[in-house]
Amino acid sequence: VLENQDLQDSIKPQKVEFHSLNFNTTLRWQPGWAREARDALYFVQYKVYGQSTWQNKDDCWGIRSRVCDLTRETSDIQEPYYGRVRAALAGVHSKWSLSCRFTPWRETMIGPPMVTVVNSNKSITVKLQAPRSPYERKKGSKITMTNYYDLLYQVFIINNLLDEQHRVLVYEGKDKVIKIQDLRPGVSYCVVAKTYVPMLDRSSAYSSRQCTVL
Amino acid sequence: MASLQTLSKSFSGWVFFCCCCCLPLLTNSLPLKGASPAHPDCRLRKINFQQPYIRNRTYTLAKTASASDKDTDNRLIGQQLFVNIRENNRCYLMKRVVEFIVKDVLLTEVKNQYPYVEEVAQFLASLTSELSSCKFSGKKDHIEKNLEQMKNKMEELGENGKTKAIGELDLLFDYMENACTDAPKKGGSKKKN
Repeated sequence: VLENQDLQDSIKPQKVEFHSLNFNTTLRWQPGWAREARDALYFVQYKVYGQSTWQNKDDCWGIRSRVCDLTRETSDIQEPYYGRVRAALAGVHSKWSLSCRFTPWRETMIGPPMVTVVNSNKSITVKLQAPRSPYERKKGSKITMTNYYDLLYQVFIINNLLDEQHRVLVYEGKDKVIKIQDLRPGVSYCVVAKTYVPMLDRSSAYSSRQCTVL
Repeated sequence: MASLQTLSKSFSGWVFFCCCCCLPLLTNSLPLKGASPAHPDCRLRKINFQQPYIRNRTYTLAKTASASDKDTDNRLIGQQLFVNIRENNRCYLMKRVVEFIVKDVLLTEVKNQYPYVEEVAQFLASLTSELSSCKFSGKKDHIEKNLEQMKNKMEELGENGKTKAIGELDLLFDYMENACTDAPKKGGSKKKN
């Protein structure tokens, strides 16, 4: 059986990190190294850097899960935040484990656009929809990520006559509807897209592929 | 000495680069002005902040330093800098903050402890030199007082003061951008809830 001090150290949460996609932000962590740590409960606090008091996150107070949603708490997207977690087991509390500083605007991952394709005779029309943030306008519609960044779309075409992995960039810009012309009838084409933020020089992952046969 | 030379060399490179890039922009935007309430010399062109290379280097440097700063209560670059400062003097204030950080933090012995310090220092120095004719208007008391408070806070924190200042270069970058350019797209109006 572990002594109290050892138990404290051995259940202390590890790797406390923010994860954020399109401003959907969670704090995540790993259990302490003790075998018993798997049964621990976790307590989460957060604050804006520079504030002297930590706020309890009520929804993540004595939870078993190792994920805590802090989307609402980090909605002032240019502010730097901290989160911290401690574990409790058998009446023993660990020390707090601190996250790195996290600034949503700078660090959130931006997702790919949603892509739909419509084909006609020798062309494909591609419609692009920017990813949406979790934040709502007064009327209730979700604010898109284009509201927060100057985003560009990158559209790639995969001609299935060629190598499957061979993507050709056919468009980069802000337009939401683009037309790819002079394609060959009878051939199947797939389209994928990315978002690109020039200011941060960052691209999203690829969207899922949308395919069509002309 | 060698490092000073490279510094001034690449510094003139920056100035040269900025001038070349901005000339077309400058001529383009000439008829636009008149709306800005700030002192006309207290403006930086947006292009200064649109180079992802230096932005990311600044952010990376800040991230590296802030990882070893466990003091989450004290913050140097924050809204308290702007207490009692009119909007048209904020760029001037930030210029003074940047001058201080470059001279008293970045160009001291810490520059060997972190990556990219010199590059970021050059970049920041190029901004302040572009603002060389930026002056405050009205009373200076509040500006000096707020600056003093920031410096004192850093002093009080001792060794960690400089680490903290470097860890906040990302904030410095953003505050400078917001104070001295026409606000960029960041959903800045978005408030909690």
